[in-house]
Amino acid sequence: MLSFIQKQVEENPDISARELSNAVVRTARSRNEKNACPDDISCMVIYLRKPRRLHLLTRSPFYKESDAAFAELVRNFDGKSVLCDGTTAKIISRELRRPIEIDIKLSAQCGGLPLPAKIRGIDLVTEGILTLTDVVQRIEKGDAPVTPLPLAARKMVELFRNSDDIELVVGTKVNEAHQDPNLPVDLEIRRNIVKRLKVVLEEKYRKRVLMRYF
Amino acid sequence: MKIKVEICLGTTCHLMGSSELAELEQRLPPELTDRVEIVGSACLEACHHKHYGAAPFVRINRSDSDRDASPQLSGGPMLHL
Repeated sequence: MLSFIQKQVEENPDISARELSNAVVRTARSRNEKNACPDDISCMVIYLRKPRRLHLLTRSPFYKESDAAFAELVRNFDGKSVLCDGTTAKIISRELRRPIEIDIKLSAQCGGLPLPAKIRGIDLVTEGILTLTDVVQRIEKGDAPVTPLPLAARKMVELFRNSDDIELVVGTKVNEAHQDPNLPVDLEIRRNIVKRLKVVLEEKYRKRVLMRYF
Repeated sequence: MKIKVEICLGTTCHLMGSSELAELEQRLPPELTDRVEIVGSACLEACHHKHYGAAPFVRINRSDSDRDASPQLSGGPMLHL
């Protein structure tokens, strides 16, 4: 067993605790006849490292004058950045003078969610409330989903998994376009869905999560 | 010059069917494919302005002066489909 673990770490020095424990359990099972598991198999892996940081910005700052400071958070951040809202993406794009690009040829992979966009230097740019709701529902439900996820959700879940310190930055301006009762679904108030995201990331994924309002 | 069509992929437009508009490119008649460029937009913010009507929105041929001006929709014909 020791040599198996040494080999895994040697081949893939950045292997996550989750991946390594999965590999150990899988290999242990494969040594049994018919892949059987006559007794319990448990494996705990501890990975010591400097925390990997990620911040997610959503919605717009309450005061328009704060847009520049909002964008500075992204410019100066020492870690991964996720923008989760079309208007947030526009503010950051305008303030940092970096264009937004969307490849509509990817629409076959969008899986019912709006397509992610690209801004140079940002790790993920998605639509807001629908994508967040989808991600929260999926990670509340299960750990490693077997069905292929929509592109935007898959990328966001991966980024969360591969981060340790997560900061959720929520703009507090009300989006009047979402107050229309004729829209076909309930657009949950963004602050609530972000709170649910914080709880599931802390309790299920054991992340350190900080929330701040802008 | 190519005609540029921007399809809004924001929340409201998405819910009202803009993802189907994104497939427009595959349905263009062959004589138009060289003349039309179809791109996505994170949000055209047209839903914030009642006078544009209801989602989904596309914008056709935004002028350069609009691009430099403000994030607001300061011109350019707005089409409601």
